[in-house]
Amino acid sequence: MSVEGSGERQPHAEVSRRTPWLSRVLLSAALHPEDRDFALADLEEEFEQRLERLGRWPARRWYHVQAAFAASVRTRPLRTAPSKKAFRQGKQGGGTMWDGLRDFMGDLRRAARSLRKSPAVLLITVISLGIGIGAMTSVFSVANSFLFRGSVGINDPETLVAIYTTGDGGGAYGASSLPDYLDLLQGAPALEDATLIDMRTVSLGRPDEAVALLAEEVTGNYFEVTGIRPVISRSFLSEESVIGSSARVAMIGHDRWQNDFDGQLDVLGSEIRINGYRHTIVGVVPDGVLSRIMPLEPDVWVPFNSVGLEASTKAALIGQRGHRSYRILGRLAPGSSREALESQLGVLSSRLLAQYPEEWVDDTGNPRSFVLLDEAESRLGANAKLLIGGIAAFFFVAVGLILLIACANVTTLFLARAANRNREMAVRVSLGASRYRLVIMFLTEGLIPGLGAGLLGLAVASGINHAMNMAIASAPFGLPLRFSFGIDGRVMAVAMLLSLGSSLVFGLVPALEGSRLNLVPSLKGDGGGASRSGGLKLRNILVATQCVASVILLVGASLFVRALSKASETDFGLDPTRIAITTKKLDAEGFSEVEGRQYIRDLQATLVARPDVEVAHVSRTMEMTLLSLNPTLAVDVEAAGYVPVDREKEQFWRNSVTPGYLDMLGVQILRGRGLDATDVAGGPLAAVVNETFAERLWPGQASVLKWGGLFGLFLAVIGIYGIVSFAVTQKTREVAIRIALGAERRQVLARVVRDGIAAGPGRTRRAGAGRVRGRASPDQRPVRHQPHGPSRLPGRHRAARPRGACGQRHSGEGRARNIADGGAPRGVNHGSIAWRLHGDGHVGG
Amino acid sequence: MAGKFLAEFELYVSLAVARLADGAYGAAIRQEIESRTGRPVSIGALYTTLARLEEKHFVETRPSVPEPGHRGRPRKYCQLTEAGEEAARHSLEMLGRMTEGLPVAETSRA
Repeated sequence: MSVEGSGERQPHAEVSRRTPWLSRVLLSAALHPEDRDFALADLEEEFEQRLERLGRWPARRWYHVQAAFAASVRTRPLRTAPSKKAFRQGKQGGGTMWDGLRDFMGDLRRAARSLRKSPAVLLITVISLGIGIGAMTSVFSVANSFLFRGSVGINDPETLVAIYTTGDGGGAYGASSLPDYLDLLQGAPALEDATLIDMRTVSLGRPDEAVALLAEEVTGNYFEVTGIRPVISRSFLSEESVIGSSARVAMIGHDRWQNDFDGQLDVLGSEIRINGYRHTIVGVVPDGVLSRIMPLEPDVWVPFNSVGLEASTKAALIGQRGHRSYRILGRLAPGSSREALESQLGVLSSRLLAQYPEEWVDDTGNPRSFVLLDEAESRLGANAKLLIGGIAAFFFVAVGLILLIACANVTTLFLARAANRNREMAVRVSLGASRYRLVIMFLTEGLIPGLGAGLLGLAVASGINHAMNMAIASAPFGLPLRFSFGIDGRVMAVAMLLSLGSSLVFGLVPALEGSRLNLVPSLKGDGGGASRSGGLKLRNILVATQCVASVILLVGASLFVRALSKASETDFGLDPTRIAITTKKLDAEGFSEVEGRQYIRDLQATLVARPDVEVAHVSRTMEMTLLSLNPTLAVDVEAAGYVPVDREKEQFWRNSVTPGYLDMLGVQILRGRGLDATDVAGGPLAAVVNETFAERLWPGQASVLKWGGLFGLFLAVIGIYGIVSFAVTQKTREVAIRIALGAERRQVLARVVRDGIAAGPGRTRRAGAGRVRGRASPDQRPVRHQPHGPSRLPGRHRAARPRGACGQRHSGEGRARNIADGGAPRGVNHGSIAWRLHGDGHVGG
Repeated sequence: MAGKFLAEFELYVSLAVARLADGAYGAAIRQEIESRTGRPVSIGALYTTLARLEEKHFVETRPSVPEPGHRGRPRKYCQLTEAGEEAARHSLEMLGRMTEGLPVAETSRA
């Protein structure tokens, strides 16, 4: 018998000469382990012969057929009695894929039967993992909606590019100006067309019932450039979008169409009032189209002719080359490349620099340039992407830790179950089950609650997402923001992956543990199962870890709940009861300054005249809302003895109010005086500063976080249940002896409870983590640490200062020069102080 | 004695092993049966059958020693044992007795 015969084969092994990997894997799974190597080698040899004789594709086809054939024809079956030799070797025959599948289905049925006997374990597992998986899935779906989902409605995004002008500080992705845009249209033949985009908040409706919403202002070719097709009717006409044209037309978003016009087709030609001006609706934009500036869905689109939108200020600014506040989106001409456009933009930049040196040199003295970005990358700014990615990663890890602890809890539960089933496993082994089969059996048992948890997780995630969408929509941002955090295929895949992963995580340890048996004692029912030394060590470590995690979670959660309840009781320093608020954008609605002041005075007088109104006051911005963080409201602060650190000076926020506003809100003046009737326009400037401003908490959030804390508690309770049940299982025999010796049920129960309580920390100490017990006290220092909750954290000062009675901006605002009282700037427990400042800005009395 | 009889595919495999003599290993056996009978042979079925024949002591197998420079492909060489030859002979004889004088046997041979 010869042992050679491979000499004629080619020694080289190119990739193309290799057998197709998928079929190879299939074959490996299907073939009996003893034959696998030989059979694969045989097929490989024949494959190479065919490759040379017939070519690549016939050879591959042949190999695929062989694989399918091998997988479908049953080879050595698994269930027939194994040969004596195989039995001695502990093998029951590896079996084919189909045998494997059959075994798996059998295991699944058995697992279902066995879990049905302990519905509590099943329920606890599904619920605790489900909530964890749900939270993670939800976090992912938020990241998904921002980072991974493509732009809706955009046609052929590959040839679409975003064009930026470098910013004042040299940043790459700055806004562009209208004159530059017009030069771009002429100077870059590689661009087929380009559109200029701006986004702003506008008010919709008649002045007395206007709501704030998002408008995107676009050049008329926006819809042609992007390829977004209106749901009904048309997009803008070219004459409507000529800058300076008086056409007042608008397209409305799908949502608005459905909500305000019931989705009726005769919406076309209807009029809506945007910033008080009548606009004719000419079309409806499809659902889900996001603004190019921020990942938000605009409510209306208007042509870039600036009519009706802050007409007075904008008309003057829009023509200025240095007024860079718009986004450009361009479509590459057919046949031209990104590189060609880039070089054309380079030429154009240098030309513009030569022509307009003032506008084309940035604040750092460097020349500006155009910067190109693919549409997909431009959807979110690089910074926003990093920020969202970072936040998502943070939450993913944080929630992932909770899921991991949930897994550890469930592991303990299943470990206790496994300990309980030593005898069953011993019987299985003596009937010929291999350890491999036992491990698979345990893992399958974990799969059922795992998949259940995955399904529950999806339900939880969609619930959380729905709640988030609703919460955002109704949050007092001053704008109706809409996000659609939804569940798509990618999110579902992640949920399933998480559930499989977690069932593997919590299934593996009990599987390895439960399948390790000392046959004889196990069969006798000594329960001791595995090798006492190794097995117990592992269990001890797990129980100890579990205990530590539970205690930390328990303490952490109770601290969290306490801190939150403190936070929700936080005294904001004002009394919001019986207060009603409304907002109005006077400048946006075309009021002149004089008209605006008169309007406000009239409104105030009208309100006060009503019998149900006690008092009415005007402020520039609403307290405790995002709108109050409008950067234009930030002020520089200079004060004697106070040196701002870094950019700290940008962090002071100001509100302008009518005298009496603070009184109305119930704000207590701790020192000095409040604003009064002597603080009128033209008089000496006065300001009131607050004690500390740290908290911008909305009360609604507290309840969400509180649930997080309660969930932590819930997890900890499960964990401790697992430990106790494990301890009890270990003592079954002892209990039986006690009962045999005449112990009563009551006594046994008392003992079990006592032992159970001692079991956690006791075991923990033995496993070397004894210090935990000393920390388990629920009332901990960190709570006392902040007797007033977060309200005393060092924070931002808030300055309020009266001006006439109008919310419009003055030119040449006096800088609020305040602070002092020894020059301690922030965070310390000083009173609110009113300072009277002289008109020339020097600090006075 | 029941162990003496060979199933149809076992017979094919035994005969192929006998025909290939020293060169009888998986791929060669497979090709031999396929080329002579035109019947597609699954590699898994072949090895299962070989294992069964080995269990009945009709076939002896011997793994090749992987040689460097020959891509080290393992082969399982097979040889009919005396009992195997006896069983094949016996099966063929029984087959002959069963088909003797039957018209179906005549036409199939034509």
